Amino acid sequence: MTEQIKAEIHYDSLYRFAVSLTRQSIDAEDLVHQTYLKWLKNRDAIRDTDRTKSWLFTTLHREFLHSLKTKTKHTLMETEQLEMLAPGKSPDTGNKLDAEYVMALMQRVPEPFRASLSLFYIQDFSYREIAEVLDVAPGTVMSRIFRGKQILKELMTTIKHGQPAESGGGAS
Amino acid sequence: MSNKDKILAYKEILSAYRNGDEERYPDAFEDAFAALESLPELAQWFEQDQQFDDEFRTALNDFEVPEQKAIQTEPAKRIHFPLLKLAAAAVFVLVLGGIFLNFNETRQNQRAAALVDELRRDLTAFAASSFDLDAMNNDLTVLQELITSRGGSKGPILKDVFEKGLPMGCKIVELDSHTVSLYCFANDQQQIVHAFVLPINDLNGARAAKHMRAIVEYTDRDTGGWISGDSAYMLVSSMPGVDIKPFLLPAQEIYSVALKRNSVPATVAMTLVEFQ
Repeated sequence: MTEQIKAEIHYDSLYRFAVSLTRQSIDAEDLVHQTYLKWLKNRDAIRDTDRTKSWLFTTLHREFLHSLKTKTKHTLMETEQLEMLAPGKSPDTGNKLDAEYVMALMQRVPEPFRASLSLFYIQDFSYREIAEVLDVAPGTVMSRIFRGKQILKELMTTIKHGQPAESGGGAS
Repeated sequence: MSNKDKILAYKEILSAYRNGDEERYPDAFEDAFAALESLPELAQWFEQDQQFDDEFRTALNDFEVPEQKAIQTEPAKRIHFPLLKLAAAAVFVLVLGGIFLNFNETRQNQRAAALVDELRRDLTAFAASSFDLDAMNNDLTVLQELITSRGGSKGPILKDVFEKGLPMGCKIVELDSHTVSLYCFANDQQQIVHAFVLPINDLNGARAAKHMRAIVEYTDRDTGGWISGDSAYMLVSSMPGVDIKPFLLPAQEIYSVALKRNSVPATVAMTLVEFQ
């Protein structure tokens, strides 16, 4: 595969990861765009092209952390996503989960659990690869995935039973 | 450590497990997997957790993604006054020619659609017939050299599209006035997918792209294609029931974006952008 193709095939996953982090589609698109620009500028320096995927995700996460520093407060969720989490609004799709709904749930998981959990579900990263992308210990990733899942399940139960899920960026 | 604490510790480890992890990191999950044998409560939890993972992962990866934007870094160039004059003159000429061009474009599109439809029928009829390959080899480069030496289209991107396919053989096929290259690839189930390549000029140029995208069935075989560079690619199932989607859809996604969006795709833009 060419380098461009190697980078571009991760676009969808990068975007989903970015949406889960930023909670805003516009911010997510900017973040992905910014990541690809960095990749274009640095691709000659990435000697091992098999590492393109982890390079892209690592860079996107760093860009996200950098963007947080420049903002005074967390971005609010988009209206549609808030509506998805309104009491009793868990989608009636039988046993299947709905994509918008699970993304809205994911966005409610507080950091630092959210990034680990997103990578765990969105990309086929192992816990060690996630540790590399987020620059934390593998054991920390395990803990964060475990705790993140617990929060997800609690959120689902809360919404199902008609209690409102808090909006904004506060921790659950 | 109490039994409860042990279970909690194992849960934390197993929670991060993904299919295949036990092979990649045998030490990490060994104890936890052994505990599953002796702790039914843990085994039951693990089964439910895996099911939750599967459902959540599937749903999350269905989350809609907008089309890629072309990545551009260079600022728009300023248009100087003389250039504006020229542009105005060009617009005038274009307006005059617009009506004619629009009419002509519609006709050309209809012709492209008819040619693609005809091509699909011809290729599936050929795939259903009995034929011998010109050469059999598992090395795509060898096959491509043979095809080009005989005047056929090389299909330069086949190597990328069929990265997970095994090249089996090739043939030059003469269809009416077209010289079509045929490459045969085996998928992971040892089923053959035919990749036909021909010059896009044979299909009325790039207009054919939008008519090639849909998967259309003829004589129980799926057909679908895309355009890249100067070549048109059409995949055809060798037998009824052979799925072409695993090769077709990623190829369309990557190579047909410009025509789908009527804009420059990121791939092309990335290639074009120059950095200081």
